[in-house]
Amino acid sequence: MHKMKTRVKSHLFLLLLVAAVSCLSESQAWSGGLSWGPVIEEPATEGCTPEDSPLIVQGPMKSPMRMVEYGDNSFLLSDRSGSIYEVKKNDPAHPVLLLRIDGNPLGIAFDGRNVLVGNETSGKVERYALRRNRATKRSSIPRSKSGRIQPLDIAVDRTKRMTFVVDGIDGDVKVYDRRGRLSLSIGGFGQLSQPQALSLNPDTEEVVVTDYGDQRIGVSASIQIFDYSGRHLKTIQGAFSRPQGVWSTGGSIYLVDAMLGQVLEFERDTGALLSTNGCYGSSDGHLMLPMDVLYDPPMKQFFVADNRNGRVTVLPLIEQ
Amino acid sequence: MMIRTLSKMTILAAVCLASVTFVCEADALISGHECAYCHSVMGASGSTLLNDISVEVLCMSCHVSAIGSTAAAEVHTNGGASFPANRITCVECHDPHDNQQNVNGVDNLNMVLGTITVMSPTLGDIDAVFADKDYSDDNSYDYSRPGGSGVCQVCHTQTSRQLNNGTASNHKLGLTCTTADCHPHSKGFDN
Repeated sequence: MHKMKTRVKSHLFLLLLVAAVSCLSESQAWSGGLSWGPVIEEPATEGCTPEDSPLIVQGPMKSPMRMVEYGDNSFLLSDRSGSIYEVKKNDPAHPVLLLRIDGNPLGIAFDGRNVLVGNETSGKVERYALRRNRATKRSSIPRSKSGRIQPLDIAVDRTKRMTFVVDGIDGDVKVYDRRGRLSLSIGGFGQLSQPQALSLNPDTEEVVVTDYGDQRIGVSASIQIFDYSGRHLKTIQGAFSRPQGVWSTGGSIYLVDAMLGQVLEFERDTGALLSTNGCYGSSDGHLMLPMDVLYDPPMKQFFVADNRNGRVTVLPLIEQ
Repeated sequence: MMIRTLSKMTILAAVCLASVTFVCEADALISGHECAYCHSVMGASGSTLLNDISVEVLCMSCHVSAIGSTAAAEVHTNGGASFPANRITCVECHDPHDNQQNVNGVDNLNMVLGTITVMSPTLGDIDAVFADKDYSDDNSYDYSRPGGSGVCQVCHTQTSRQLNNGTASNHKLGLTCTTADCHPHSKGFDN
């Protein structure tokens, strides 16, 4: 009887040991994070040196947020402290102040004629016409005085004249028609939790959205892909936890992770991680709280809005 | 044999579930701040199991774009020529885990510390009170307090308003200091 008890005890002990070890290894490996959330990698600092010599653009920015293409050779950058800058791709060291915004700009877009600025303070997307170095505010979305959104990011399909806005209040992507009327809400019903940024692929009519997820209910950070009608197409998850700005081309999706301080490239079809660029930190070429990425295919380089460092960093694409 | 296997699997599942479920019950947390937002039990290199070596980046990874709309924040800096340069970052004023009790025995709001260590100028530990944001009910609030312990006053020794000795605190008394038109947290209290 005593032997029997001892055997049972030792079996139980072994069982618990195996369970504990298995839990530890499971926790390490969970990337879907059913109840614990994603494995969040430590920022790469030790021994992480930027490849080549990235160009550091130490501009007057205080809190750079989002970027958008502005013609072939420039991009616009929103600064949360209340400014919009134009940055020449071939002379990024000299950003030009384009607009002063009464409030905190978040998202930014360009529809070919007007600059659209997501103003968190007013709770609107404000449309500015630029003529002869003067900006005139023309209209706002939502059009009603009482309507407020938190426009975290904006994108425009110029051909279809549709405006897509990530709304941090409702946690969805709102689609507005050419007259600024709300025509669709994408990602409601739990498809998106805390969306941050978006990118359009007009050729395939896809909307690529980064989402922090919601660990309170076991939803991990992800990239969500929808079509223009709001139909969910694909979810990509991986070793990222604070996905911010995103840039999509036909086959690749580039995103910046605000905590890792890196640009991650994913294959659209398989969700496979193709490359990582950048390091966490404040020295040259390192990123601290990157908020947006803009890929420059001809030069194979990234422009990154490097928020805590108050600058734009240009990183070469390192194919792996 | 099958029953034994099943019972083993049940125990295994129970242990796994317990280790995952109860690991996060260490402290009362402000709503929305889940453990795993900032801490990692496995593999974190920091002494406090933080997922990031910079607490400011950790906080700002959510608050810079103000998830939920009302939590927009920027750190408090002073780049002006008239005053010594400073950078007051998140945990110098806030405890990310919970509201802290102030010197009056009342919980401060917005996770403000009960004692703020003022390094620039070097004043040491100063009691900070921030339990009342509403001026209309009793003609007082804790942005500014007569003795200088209001949350906006504790560090200020050279500003023209709201000094930490309680003087010069009648500037727009009754208005919320951090309102969007004045000194919002989203602009680092600048304007």
